Amino acid sequence: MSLAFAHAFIAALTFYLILGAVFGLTHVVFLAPRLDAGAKGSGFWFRVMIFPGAAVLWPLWLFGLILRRARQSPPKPWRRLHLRLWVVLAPLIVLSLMLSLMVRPVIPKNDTLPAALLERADD
Amino acid sequence: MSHVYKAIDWNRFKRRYDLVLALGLLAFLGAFMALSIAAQPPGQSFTPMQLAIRAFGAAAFLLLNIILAIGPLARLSKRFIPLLYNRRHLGVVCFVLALIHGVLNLLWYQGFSALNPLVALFVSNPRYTSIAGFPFESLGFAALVILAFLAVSSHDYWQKVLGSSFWKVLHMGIYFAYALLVLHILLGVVQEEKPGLYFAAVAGAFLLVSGLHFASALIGRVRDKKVQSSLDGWINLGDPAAIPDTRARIVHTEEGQRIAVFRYDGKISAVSNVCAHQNGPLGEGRVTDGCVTCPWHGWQYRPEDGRSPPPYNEMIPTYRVQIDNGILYVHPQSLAPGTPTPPAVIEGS
Repeated sequence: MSLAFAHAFIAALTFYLILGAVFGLTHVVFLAPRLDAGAKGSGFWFRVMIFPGAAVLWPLWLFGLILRRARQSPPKPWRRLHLRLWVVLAPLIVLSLMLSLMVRPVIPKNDTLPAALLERADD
Repeated sequence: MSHVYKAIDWNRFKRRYDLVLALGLLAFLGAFMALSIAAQPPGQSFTPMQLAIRAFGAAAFLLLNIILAIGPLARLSKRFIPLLYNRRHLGVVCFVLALIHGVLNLLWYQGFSALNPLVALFVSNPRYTSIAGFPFESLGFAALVILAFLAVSSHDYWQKVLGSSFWKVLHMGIYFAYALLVLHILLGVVQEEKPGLYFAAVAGAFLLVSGLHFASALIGRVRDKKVQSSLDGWINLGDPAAIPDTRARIVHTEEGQRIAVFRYDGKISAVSNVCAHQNGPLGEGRVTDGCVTCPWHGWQYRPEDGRSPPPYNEMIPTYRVQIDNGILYVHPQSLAPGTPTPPAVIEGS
């Protein structure tokens, strides 16, 4: 990763979180009771508890709000998706580990180093 | 299941659960540090910061393995179901431990850099095209971001606001976080040490967790033999008395739905097997106080209409049932959540 890209990435992340703090505060103060009746009359600590979520997940709830997506969808069984994810992830992890072990750099022992290097190390 | 949300809906069980968790973590951190010091070769020693970094990282990974093992274990044996009850607290604690590990790492290894420590994290090892020399720290950072998303969205409020299905998909991210963490640790071990005890422990944990998931999926398939509908569409379930009182028989339909058929008070009712809260298996619960009670978190529904008792307003789909000549039938077509359905009465009970 180049230095410029890393700087840009961290700047974007900071900007995302600053925006999130503003949206999050708006959410917990004004929006929460409108989005869910259970939040009406809830206490101060409940608002504190949901603030990190409001700040970090702001694109998710904001787009949901704009698109007026149905928030109550019927529950579904997810067992098949669990299995499919494992079927994909498990071999990928094993493969990556085997590859990393195979191409692991071999650190030369002292007796295989050139004599000049050993002399320099002794100095 | 809460009428007005609270920050944390404490009860006696949750307090006990969290106390055991806290004591277990303290014991693990202490034992890890003591063993790490004892295992050091003569003349070498960890600094306290290095010890803390490793101990918190190991604790977070251990907890993540436990979290991932609880689901399949609970499906394999009902004895593990109580562990599911407060699993979200384990998840939040896991994130906090991982965050401490990450922050200590940044302070110790990047804190003295002239660059912003987060920028330094990504550029201090530029070998992104190498497998063996890959900057494993970036994998840990990605996993930490995923765990942060899961931790901050763990309150029931977010499940309601984001929608149950979307929330569930979001929380499937735990598998990606796990994969990233396995690679983060093992690539780190490969680069720094001989693949010895650490490598074996992490690889063993991964094999155990993935093995449990595959085993529970396979056993679930064997248990879930699909039932055939008869010509008129109703499913023959045989003698209704074969269902234990206050318990359910779970029926897996050809359409891929799971129906929980409950016997209670000499009657039979059928509801969806999927709890509206976190998709818990209602059919593995029982009827208590006249309500179907989810074994995972205790959410309740009336068997006759699939509605939670007042003041709650959650609803699940119901199914029609009938008893004809002593044979129990259920119709596989689900009715809208909360639809009242007359229970079938078992004669002579």
